[in-house]
Amino acid sequence: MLDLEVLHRPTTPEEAVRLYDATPGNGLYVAGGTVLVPAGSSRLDYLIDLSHVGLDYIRREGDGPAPDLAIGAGVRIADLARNAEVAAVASGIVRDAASAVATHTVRNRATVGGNIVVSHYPTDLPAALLVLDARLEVLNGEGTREIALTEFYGNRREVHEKGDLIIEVRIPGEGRGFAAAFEKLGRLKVDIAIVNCAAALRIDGDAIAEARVAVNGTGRPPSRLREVESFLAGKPVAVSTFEEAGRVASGSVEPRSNHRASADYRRKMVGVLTKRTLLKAAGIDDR
Amino acid sequence: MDVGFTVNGAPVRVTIQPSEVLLDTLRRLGWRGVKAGCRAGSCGSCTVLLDGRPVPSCTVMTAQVEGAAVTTIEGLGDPASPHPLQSEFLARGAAQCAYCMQGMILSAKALLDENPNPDEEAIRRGLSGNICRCTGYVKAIDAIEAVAGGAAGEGGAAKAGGPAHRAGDGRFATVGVSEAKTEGIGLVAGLAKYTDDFAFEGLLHGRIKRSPHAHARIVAIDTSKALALPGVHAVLTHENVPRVPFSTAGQNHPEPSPYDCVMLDRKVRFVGDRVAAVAAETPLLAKRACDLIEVEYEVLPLLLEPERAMDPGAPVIHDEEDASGIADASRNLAAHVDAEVGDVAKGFDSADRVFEHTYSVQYIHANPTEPHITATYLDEKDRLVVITSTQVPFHVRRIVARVNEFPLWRVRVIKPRIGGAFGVKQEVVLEDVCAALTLRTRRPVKLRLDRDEELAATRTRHPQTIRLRTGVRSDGSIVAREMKVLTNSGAYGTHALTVPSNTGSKSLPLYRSPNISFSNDSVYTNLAVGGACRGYGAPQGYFAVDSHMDEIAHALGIDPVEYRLANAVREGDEDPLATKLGEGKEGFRRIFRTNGLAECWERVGEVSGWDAWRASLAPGETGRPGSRSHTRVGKGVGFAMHGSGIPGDDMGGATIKANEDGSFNLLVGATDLGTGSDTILAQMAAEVLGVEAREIVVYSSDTDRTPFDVGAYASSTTYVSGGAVVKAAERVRDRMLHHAAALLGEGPEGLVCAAGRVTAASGKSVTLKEVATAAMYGEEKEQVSFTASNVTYDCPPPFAAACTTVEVDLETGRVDVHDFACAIDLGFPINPALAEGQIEGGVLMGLGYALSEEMLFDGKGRMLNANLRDYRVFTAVDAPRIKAILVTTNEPTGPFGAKSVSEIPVDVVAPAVANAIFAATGVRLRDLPFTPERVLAGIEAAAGGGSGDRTGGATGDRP
Repeated sequence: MLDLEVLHRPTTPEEAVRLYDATPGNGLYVAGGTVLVPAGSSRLDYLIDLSHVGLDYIRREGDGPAPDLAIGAGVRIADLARNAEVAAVASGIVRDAASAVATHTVRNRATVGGNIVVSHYPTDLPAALLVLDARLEVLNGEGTREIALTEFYGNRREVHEKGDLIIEVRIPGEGRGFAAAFEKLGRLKVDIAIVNCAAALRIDGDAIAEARVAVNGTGRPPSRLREVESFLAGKPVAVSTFEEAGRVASGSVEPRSNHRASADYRRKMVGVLTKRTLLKAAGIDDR
Repeated sequence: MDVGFTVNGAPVRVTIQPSEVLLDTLRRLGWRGVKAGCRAGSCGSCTVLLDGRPVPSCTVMTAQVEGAAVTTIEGLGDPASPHPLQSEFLARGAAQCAYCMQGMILSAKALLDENPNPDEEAIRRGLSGNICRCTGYVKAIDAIEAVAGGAAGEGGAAKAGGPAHRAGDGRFATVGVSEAKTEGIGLVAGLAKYTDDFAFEGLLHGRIKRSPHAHARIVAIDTSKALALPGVHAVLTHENVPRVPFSTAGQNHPEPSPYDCVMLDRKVRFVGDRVAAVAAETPLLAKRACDLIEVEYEVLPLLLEPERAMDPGAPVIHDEEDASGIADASRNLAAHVDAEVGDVAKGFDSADRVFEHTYSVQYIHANPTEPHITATYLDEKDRLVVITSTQVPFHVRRIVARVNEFPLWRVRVIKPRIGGAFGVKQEVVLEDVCAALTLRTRRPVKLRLDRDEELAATRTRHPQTIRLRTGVRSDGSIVAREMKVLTNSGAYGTHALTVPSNTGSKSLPLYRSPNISFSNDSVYTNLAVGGACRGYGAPQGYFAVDSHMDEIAHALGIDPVEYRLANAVREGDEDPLATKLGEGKEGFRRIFRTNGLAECWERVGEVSGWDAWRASLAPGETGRPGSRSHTRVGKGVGFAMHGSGIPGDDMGGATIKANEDGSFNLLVGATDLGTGSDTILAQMAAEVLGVEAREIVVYSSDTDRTPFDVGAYASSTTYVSGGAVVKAAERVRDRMLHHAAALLGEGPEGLVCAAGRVTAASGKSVTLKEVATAAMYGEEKEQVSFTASNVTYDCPPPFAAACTTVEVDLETGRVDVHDFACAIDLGFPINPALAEGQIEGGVLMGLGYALSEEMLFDGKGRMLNANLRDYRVFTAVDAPRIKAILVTTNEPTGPFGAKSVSEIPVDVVAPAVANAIFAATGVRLRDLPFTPERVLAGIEAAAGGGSGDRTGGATGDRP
């Protein structure tokens, strides 16, 4: 139950960060509220509501055959899932990941920014965004700056400062043409992921020119599986390659146990989902 | 702060507390169709349309909706002009308790606005955020398809004359017909009044301070800071309330459960146990007050493993001196029961083979969408009124009066509409303390549980370990059966004797054996408390019994269905355990007069393609290839029988009184939990009185106004309370005929009451309205009325057969349920659509038990998943296609031939799923639930030769 006396309702991102700096006590930004509002917090003094700051755009940035895709942090997950521009990028993995988020009602409230920052359970967008080398645009009182998503998750304490507001996710155009896939495993179909995984491939002839794999749900921040990626570089596109990649993936993670699954099971599932997303990305029918 | 937006088209401007959520603002503004379920965005009961899109209003801060358009269920339509979705949901019996339905209908509206022709998958996805606990989503999906396809008005009650929804070969006028629910369209238009919908002047909000420790003594408790908080009106602790040992189990007096708890104790026995209770002017203040109560605990050693409970030196959980009815408190033995038929030792000696397997079942929660909630106040005559979401209003009255040392005649308990219950509201977990807060403050108090309290601190399905041993002859006939159960009762012994008794008494008699023994130890632990939960011990028992039967059949090389049918009870058999395992005492003889098991199987086998499946298997093959290279498909069956009420114990009462227009009031103590019992009881009365069901005005239930009924439990309402309705209706009909005879100038013999008229053999007739008017205003002047009560010493079992198809992912262990067919011999369906709804919902609840639901605890006894994000129940997306089949056998002892239907569907599910997983993979799983991790562990153990259960075949072969 939230119990607050102070709630700011800025109308621009700049006003939001100014209010953050100007308000005493512990504060947080709130967007969709699907996680924060029910959880509440006794250590919270105020909230800054982002409902009216805009940031709900999805647009191409730049010209040429491979423009970047800029996604405002306030875009609702449901809108991300049904946007044609999003579906056109990398086999539509961001759309697929967005479609896998929670329920239809939550997707109508939850936002891209929220799905990226929630850390106490594995959300569905990060793995897909990580394999596309997505970058975050962050605003604070001193201006805007970019943070690579890999840095955000790998080094969050250093790169993300108190009061930072994520305003945009940028998907670089160079990943547009990757053959990609996203898979999620829960106890039920509508569930928090035990593990989810994304893979993206650039294939040259019969060989893998570049591979990117990311997972979430190991009990640690979402991350790219670099060992798997190096293993795959230059390898032939073949079932055996991807089976081996799955084994490498399992060996490369150090998952934690919790009430949703044990570390051992997660390790195995990282392998299984790595193999499956790679097969799917490569268009190898697994029937 | 002020916020402006529109609700259902009308602009509003409200002053809010800054972090107030839209759910609360809307309800405060009077839009009470918006329901609070989980308050965490997970259940969907509070769904509203925000600028046309369905959202959980509990996660939206009102401050965020400035300028937006909000639509609630009231904005869709009202009884005068309902939306087609509302009409169709009602007509098809899609709404049971209906607590979730307002949100579901709004989701459907948004879906159809966006996609006017959704396929079934799109509909399921469009409902994914609306959890329904009563139904299997089947009829809701049908209703949405009908509205989308322009077929609204052609189904459900509207097609009542059609073959699908009319039983009884034309013998009856209204009984056997899928009448729409008696509540009418208001049920799906936000008008149904649940406890939270009652408004009071001067209302205080109650809250319970709960223990953070699983086992501790309260050394000191300081309430001064809480009491000093302005707006806090009372703080109750063990120091200032009566100490009256009781059982929260809402069972008949004297309860067969131990009296091992008090309103507030000096000791806490599980995490979430009551420490203190507060009444304050707002829910937030009540919460702050709870936080300000300072408690000094002496933390005691923990007992978390039931297997250790009776060990010498184990911590003694119930060391209080004033408890009574505990089997052996010094050994943490809450209850013990055993029974033997024949000579089991000799039976095993004569067996050619003996099979022994151990099964285990987990803690689950019934998890109704409406949590426990009670409101209490003192009325104008200074009597205590308790409005409460309960299955057992009369037991509540007795217990509240006793525990508060308050005269029973000054207590009135009203059961309003209930948002689902499933046994967990057969427990007095709020009413006693809410009443105490009202008695202390003399103000109305509302006490409503948060979802985490509901899950962690109310009541659960008892976890058990069940050891089964069966001796068979080489021809497969059973010569001896032994069941040994260890039941984890948790911190208190509610239903600790009777639930496990039913584990044996419901499941063992299904298969014949001359020698049977059963024993159970129910032990205390410092964990969540067991209690009544739909099926009441039988789902645990059947998981073991019908898995075990499958194992034996496979080991003997006999078809598992043939093996079951060959050993199942027959018509005319006597239940060998009935007299030995009564309701905590000697029971009554029980003869199986009707038995439709064979027909149930015939119908299920047909729709599920069982024969074709069996024929498709190559010799020695396990399972069939699935849709992916790493999956296997298999079919499994489950059989069960249940009971209809508690013989010699359950009593139902009904009053019928005539009105001058020929309508009747039916006053029943029976409690409709959403099942539709008000409707089927009205249909029974209407049938006898020769009127339409809608002319029976039902009131249920109120201890001041309706006759006594034990309440809704033990599958008793249709059979026991229905019997009372029929008796009362017959007496009222006789009086109506008496008055009709005078009007017609004929003797009452030979007069017939039908179609709203009384007709004589001569052909002369008079309308019931004329008769009723004459009775009331004519010379004789009589209020035609009768109160009947009904007790039965029979307990005819409904029978069930089920078949399911599952696809198992051999790499992840995930089990996907493709379909589930379940046929039930329910004697006779009073309302076929509502009976199907019971089956569909029971199956879905059983699937949660089998696959996803499990209360998990850490090493300190704290529940780890006390929220609906982590305690996973099936959504419409997860639910398979469920096919419910009704089999009629016309039970001679039941009203219109009816037996029960509400609990038995749960019994067949877990064994059917276990048997299907085995059929798909050759892996036998004996520990519920079958989470992906557990299934994969089973597959890996079998592949490694670990379990030795694998029957070989293609299981591990991959292309």
